[in-house]
Amino acid sequence: MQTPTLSSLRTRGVAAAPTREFLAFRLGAEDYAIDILKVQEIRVFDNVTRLPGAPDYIKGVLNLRGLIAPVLDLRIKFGFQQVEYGPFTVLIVLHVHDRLVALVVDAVADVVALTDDEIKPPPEFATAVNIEYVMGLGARGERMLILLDIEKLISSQELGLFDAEQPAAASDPAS
Amino acid sequence: MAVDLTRFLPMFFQETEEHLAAMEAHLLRLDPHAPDPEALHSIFRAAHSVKGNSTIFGATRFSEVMHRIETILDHMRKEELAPTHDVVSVLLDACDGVREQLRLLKESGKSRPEALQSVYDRLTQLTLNETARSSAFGDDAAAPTSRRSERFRVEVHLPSGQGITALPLAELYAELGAIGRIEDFKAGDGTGDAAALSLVLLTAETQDVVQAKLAPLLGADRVRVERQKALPAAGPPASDRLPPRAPSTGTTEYGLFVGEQSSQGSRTFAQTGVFPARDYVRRSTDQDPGHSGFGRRATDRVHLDRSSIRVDVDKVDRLLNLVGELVIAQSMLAEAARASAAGDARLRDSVAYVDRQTRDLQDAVMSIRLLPIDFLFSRMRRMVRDLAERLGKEVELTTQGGDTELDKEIIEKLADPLMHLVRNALDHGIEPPAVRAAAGKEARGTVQLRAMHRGGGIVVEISDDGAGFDRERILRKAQERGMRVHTGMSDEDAWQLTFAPGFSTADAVSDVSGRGVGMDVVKRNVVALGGNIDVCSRTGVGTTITIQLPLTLAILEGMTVEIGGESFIIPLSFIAEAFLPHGGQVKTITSGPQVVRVRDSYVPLITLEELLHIRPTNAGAEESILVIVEAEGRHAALAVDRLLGQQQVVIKSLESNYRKVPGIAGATVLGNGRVALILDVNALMRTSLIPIERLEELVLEADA
Repeated sequence: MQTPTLSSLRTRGVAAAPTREFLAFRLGAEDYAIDILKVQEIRVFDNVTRLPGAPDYIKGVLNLRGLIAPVLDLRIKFGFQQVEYGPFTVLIVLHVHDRLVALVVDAVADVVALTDDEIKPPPEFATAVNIEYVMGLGARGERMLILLDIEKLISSQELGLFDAEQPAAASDPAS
Repeated sequence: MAVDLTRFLPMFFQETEEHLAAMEAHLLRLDPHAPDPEALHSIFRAAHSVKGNSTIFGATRFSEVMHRIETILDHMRKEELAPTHDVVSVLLDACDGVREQLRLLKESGKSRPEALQSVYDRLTQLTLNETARSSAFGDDAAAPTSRRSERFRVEVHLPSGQGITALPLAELYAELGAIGRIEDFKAGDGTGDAAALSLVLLTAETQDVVQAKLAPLLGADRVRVERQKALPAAGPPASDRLPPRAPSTGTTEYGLFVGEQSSQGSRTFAQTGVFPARDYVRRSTDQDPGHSGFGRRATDRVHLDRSSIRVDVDKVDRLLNLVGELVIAQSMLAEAARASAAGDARLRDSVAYVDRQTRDLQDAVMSIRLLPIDFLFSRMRRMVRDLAERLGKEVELTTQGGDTELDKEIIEKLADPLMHLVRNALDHGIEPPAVRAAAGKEARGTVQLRAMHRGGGIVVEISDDGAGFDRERILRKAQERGMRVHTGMSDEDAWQLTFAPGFSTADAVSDVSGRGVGMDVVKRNVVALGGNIDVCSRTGVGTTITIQLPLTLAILEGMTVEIGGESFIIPLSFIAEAFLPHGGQVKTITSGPQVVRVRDSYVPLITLEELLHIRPTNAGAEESILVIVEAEGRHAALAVDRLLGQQQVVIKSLESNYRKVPGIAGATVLGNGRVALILDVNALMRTSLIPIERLEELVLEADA
């Protein structure tokens, strides 16, 4: 169920055999990427209804063709200084653990194909993201890509997106 | 490769359960003195379908039991056996036994067929008694010996590449099942010269008859029928003997029941002590071709009776979702049409037409989820029967409005509360026959279940003509439990006490009810369904408990309000009134909470700002619109910025993609595509309200 935007992005990815495709996007000044198979669609940041009592990084909920999905702003969660909602602010709708979650990002950049060799282990130095949720590092031209383990991040207790007793958290061995 | 029947198993389970339920329902309605022939037919058909299906799936123990039941029904049909209480009890137990095994089979894949032994024996006993008593029922040994049956190997060859699925297997089963029994069913993998399908048929018919039966179904050139040598040790000889061609001595022909063999199974069973693998035999049909398709026709009729199809609930919900989206798309279209072409009558008319059709479509889809409440009522019938017996009371259960339709989910969730209330009515309400007689009442008590539509919802009533609530006792018990009571309180208030957690008036705890985990749970369940419960009772005359329920859980009639720039839905069922407060109506009490004077009483103001972190745009409650909500017998005021209008909304879960949000019951999508949250008035009241005792003090203070 990809939108035209996504499929046009995807065709630009290189289709070499042992590669995995990642959707690259920006959060503030940093470049991140997530497994493209987890992405359902990309849409404009609009029509988000605030949720009472929710943590500040949950911007609210959104109607996705009849389903209600939470909207998560990782920039707030990661403690970015500047959080702006502009014309390039988009939502990446993720399909993780049989659930829909929309992610606010500053801009969607590209689809990047990386072979396993090209994926470097997570860095020792600090990133805005807890190292636990970083799968590895990749490169896009001159820029470094932080590959997020989005599944683990979304289902983490820390984000509290799911009720604790729900099975989604069970796949996280740490919990 | 055998035919993979496992994928039909869920269907088998479901159908068998339905047939068992149908049998039970009819059995319970049987009049011992004049059983309704049509009801007997229905039970017979259901038993017969279960028997047939069970045989296909190799559950021969089930078919054995069903076969016994058929025999007994046959006797009833011939008026040789009356459906007395005891007989019906055995039949009901048999249904229970099969149902239990079915459940085991479904849950663990294993059943304990030997558990059916005792019920089988009891069934057999019934028929034996009958045999002894009635000369009309001939002994098998005395019956004229039938033509020995033979085994035929039937092979079906298909053009290569054509799978067995192309064959009308059900028809095949029905045809062959009607003339004999099927053994050793094998399906080829469709390659090479192997037969696509081969089976052994044990029948008294000739080779030509078998061939003639199959030719029109499968094509003459594809079927090969060969006589097989009788296998030496293929089971006890008795089971090889086919039923007599002529009816046993003195039996008269009776529609569908003719010739169903009754004694054969029992003897084999008695001889071997286990269920014979396959020994139910159908009567040869040459003398009456009308019976040849019996198995199939009977099944068809059962289906016609219901004339329904089975659909996965997920599919219905998906459809509901799509229609919901269509409604939203439609209102966007209507909005656009209004804005762009104010003068275009044709466009306006078309949009209005689409609007009407969309709503009709929504209603139609919604109604798919509805089931008649008789589903529940008939379950009660069984319980009343068993319980009355155990309590030594005479109780008649009458129902009214069983065809009233309710959301499937509500029906499921209503089962427990309803069962509890009926149980209460029997245990506490209806008096023992002697007591009733002494009070000048009929010895036989009546419990009535009634369902009806009322104002966009459903009302379910449970009434009994029993002793009624004991006011003194309730007040006494309440006092013992430290509840606030006074002798002058109204009856309604006194009855409400019974809904308090743990409340029970029973002096002795019976195993039926009186454990005090009753009415409060009932009430909580009903409230959770968006309903309400009321008691009306008169000592010595009886009790009526009224449950009001919404028609469906998927839709809610709501008031859309604006608070702090966001839209919220307040379920209409909670709203008592809404008004603009005038000066001095809202009072702040020293310790903080605000109360609103509504006519002669004060109601607390729920501050949404504190609970939900929504800041109303209006400066204070004085400038807001106040919505008075009522839940659990208490009132509270909510301050909102604007009332946006009343509408039906489709309830969506927040939990499917997120989590439960305190104070929010769910969400919905508005006409503009935005999400609006539905306020959980019950929860808001619970978490925010000061205890009643404290409120009274506060009100005194406010008045001062």
